[in-house]
Amino acid sequence: MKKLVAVLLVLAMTVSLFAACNKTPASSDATPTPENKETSTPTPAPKTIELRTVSMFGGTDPSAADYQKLIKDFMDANPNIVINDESATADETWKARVTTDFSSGNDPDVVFYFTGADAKQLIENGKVVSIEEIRKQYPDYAKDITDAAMSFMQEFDGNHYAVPIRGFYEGLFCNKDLFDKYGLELPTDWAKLETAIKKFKEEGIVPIAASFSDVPHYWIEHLIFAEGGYEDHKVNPTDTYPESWAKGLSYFKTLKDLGAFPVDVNATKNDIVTNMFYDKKAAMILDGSWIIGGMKEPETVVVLPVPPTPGGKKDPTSIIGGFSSGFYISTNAWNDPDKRDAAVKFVMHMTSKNAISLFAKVAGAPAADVPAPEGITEVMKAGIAMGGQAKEIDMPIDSRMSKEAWTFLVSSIGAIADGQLTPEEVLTEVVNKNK
Amino acid sequence: MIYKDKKPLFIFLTPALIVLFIFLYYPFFRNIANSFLDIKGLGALGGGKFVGLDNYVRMTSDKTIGISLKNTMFMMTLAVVVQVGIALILALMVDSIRRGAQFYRTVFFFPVVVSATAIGLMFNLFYAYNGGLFNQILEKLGKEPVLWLSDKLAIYMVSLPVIWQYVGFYFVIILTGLNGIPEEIYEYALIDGVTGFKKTWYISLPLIWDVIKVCITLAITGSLKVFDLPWVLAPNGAPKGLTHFLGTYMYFNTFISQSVGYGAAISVFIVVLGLFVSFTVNKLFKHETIVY
Amino acid sequence: MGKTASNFDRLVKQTRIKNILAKTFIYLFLSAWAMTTIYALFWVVNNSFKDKTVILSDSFSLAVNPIPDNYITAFNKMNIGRAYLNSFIISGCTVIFVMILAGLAAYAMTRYNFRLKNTLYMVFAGSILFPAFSTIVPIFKMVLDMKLVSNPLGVIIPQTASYLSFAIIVLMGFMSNLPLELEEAAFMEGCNVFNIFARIILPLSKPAFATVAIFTFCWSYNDLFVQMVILRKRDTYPICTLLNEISSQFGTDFGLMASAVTIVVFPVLIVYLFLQNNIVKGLTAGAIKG
Repeated sequence: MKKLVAVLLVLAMTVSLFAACNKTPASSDATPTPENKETSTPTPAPKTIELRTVSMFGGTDPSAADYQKLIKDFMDANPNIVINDESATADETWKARVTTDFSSGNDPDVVFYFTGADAKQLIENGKVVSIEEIRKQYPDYAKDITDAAMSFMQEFDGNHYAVPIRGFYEGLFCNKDLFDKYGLELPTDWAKLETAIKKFKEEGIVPIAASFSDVPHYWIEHLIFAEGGYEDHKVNPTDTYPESWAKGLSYFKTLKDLGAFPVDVNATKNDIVTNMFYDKKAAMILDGSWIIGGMKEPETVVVLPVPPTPGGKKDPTSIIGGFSSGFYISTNAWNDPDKRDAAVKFVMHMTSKNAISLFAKVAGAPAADVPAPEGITEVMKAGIAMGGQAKEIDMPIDSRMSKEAWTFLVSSIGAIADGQLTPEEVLTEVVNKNK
Repeated sequence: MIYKDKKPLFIFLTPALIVLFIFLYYPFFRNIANSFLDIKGLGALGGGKFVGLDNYVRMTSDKTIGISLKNTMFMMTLAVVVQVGIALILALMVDSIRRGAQFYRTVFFFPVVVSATAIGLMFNLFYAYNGGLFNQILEKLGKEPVLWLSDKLAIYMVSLPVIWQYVGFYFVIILTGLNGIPEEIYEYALIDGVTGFKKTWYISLPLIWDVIKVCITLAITGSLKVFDLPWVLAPNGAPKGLTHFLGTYMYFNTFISQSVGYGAAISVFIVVLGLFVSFTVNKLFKHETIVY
Repeated sequence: MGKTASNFDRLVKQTRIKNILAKTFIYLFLSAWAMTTIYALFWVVNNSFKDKTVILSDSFSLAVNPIPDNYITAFNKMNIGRAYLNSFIISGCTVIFVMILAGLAAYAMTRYNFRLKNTLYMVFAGSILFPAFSTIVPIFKMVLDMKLVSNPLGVIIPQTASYLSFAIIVLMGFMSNLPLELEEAAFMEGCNVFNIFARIILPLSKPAFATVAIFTFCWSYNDLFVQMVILRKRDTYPICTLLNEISSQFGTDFGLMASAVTIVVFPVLIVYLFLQNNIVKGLTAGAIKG
């Protein structure tokens, strides 16, 4: 509940900021960012320090270019620090790679990574330094981050490790122009969703862009959420699973039978289906706020919460979202007297107000009080509205479950949708693997 | 008399044996030991709880193991029958012609030297539902596009490039064997009126039987090692794990699902299977070797 | 005598007619198979010079106005030069190590008689059956302990170990066919075994070494599995690993993918075209009969 309030606060603040901005378009409240001061104190160190950084702003990520630009700015301002950046698109393989890197003594110095279950192994093995520890020496570390955003970063041991930059929300993105063209209503309830699916299917447009072989994650969370509501979605199934999970997952088959997904849903890749949506070859896609960055015509797209299933317990306004990732400094870098200062400087640069507003430009609530990005698009407005109206906001399921259980569930979705496995069979096995 | 003094023997053999034992035999037995442990994550290597035969018991109830085993055996059959078969036909044909033999030899072997990753990506471009080469051909012919990686077709489509790529390898080996048959044998055959198909069946084949046996053994061990191409073409056994091979499923368990002990058990199973099949085939194909 | 001759002539004539038909069929079949290789490659290279939208709509047309954009993007996005260098360091060293170790071992195995000879042969032959999967995890742990993760040596040594047995057996097959007389003559003139190995065995076994070198090089260059596990820093990626990463990040851009495939295939194609004759020579000489 605390988290919910926090997200609401952040989102509300974003909205109010935008509102303020609309009234006073002049940049009267543009306070000089402290980042400028930092970089203007060059310490002419003779030694070149190399930092190895890993992030998920790689590949086609809409923030990739901004992230690289920030690195370049940082290196220009600190000529004695060289950043060797290794960014890649985040998927299960990438996550496994980061944890293996840490356990193989190949620790990156700074890593932008997930929190929660994904970070547990790192924290337990003392691979990353807590913000509390860093602040003892650098009291200004992460000072711009709002308390609300920071509250999401609290881990099982009560400490905070990652410095967030932007929040995210997940929702059903719809190509509104396609809905208008075929005289359809937006899928604000399940019946309308089914109507839209049937109509698009007839018209030869893929109703919902999705890839079960790659990233069925969003649909897993949202179908369970739509059926079981906030309370059931929160459960971490270690002994047994809530009935609503099975019911929720059974909608994979319902939707598939309606012809909601692309023909090659079981063999395609997430990038390909995302492009389908961008190119207006698909009408809807369930994804996170980062998808906005790549949109070619963001003015024609809106985002809605997934409607509750018939008889489902979810509040129609509730969404999945929050802050789930941030910058970590590795213990290795912290204990290296040369690297400590450089690593802290780097993270402070990447989490300065200036940087955060750059990241937030793409989508999602910024983790600091920053002026609203210029030229806000329709879809971003819709996203902000969705966040503002949400009654409950919860974190995704995979932030709670064990890796083995989660990968098993993910790899079973295709079979569930085709009716070759029942949700009950799969969930029993998931519980076994999650013990 | 040169080789009476056995001392240099050590200098010749020790380096190879050291490398072999430390980096092949030790890890191999270590891996067998790992298969009796429950290791959660690669970070926990060297530790792990002893669970006895649990990992092996788990294999018996794992449906994906069944699929992977079936696919691996399917690949093996294809490799022995189709791959070596086509290679044999091509080799016999190239052996019978003079002009262009060199050209065909170059072209046929070429896919072998190309990385499986590159070939996998290439076939990705062929199979793509929207705009792939195959569906563009169908479109030109006025046909409906086909989902090449559907439940039914996927395993064939994933096997196709694997088989296609290595035909050239066996082709070169068999052709080499054919070139080794002395010309006089064919001349005698011609005098006796043995030509064409009969010549191939009664003379060439028995004479290169040993070479074919080598190819079959290589095809069997090779099909157990299949990894790169399916992994690039259909990651995680897409669709729905239906195109998993034992190798890709072992990788999935060890490196993605991070249940290292279970992955080790699967790899032990791969070796046992390899030994068993090679042994059986050698027994089955026992055949008089003809010396010429 | 005359009867046999006329019978022979008739047969030759018959075969000639049949031959023309058969030859046509043979050439058709061979060319059809050759097309699968040539056209596949041509399709990729051709499309690497087109814009991605053109590929989706029409991938058959010849790229009349070739655009280098895909290559520019590929070289900008990835450090391809560096990856080539890494590949050649890794595969080059592996080839050298394998040839030295296998050459010495094969020589000893074919020339000396000793008690454990058969056992050792089993040790070599048996290890060919081990797939990389069955050793990779312990090797990863060892490489980790030796602090060789993301170091080319961490790949070179395990690769050497796994190709060694194949090389020893191929070389043994070849060396056992070499006549002993030369060695005996050299021995009479006072050469010791090391001289004999360097001056006689090595030069004579060149074709077999070339075969081993080509196979080892191709396997090492194309081995995604071990490289993917051991090499974890991007500036240590060889070309194959880099290609795999490009595909996972830019898989939707067909033009970029086509140019990436071309970039990877090109060097092996060149190496192969130059060295291809040796493959056959080396295999002919011994590998098969042995």
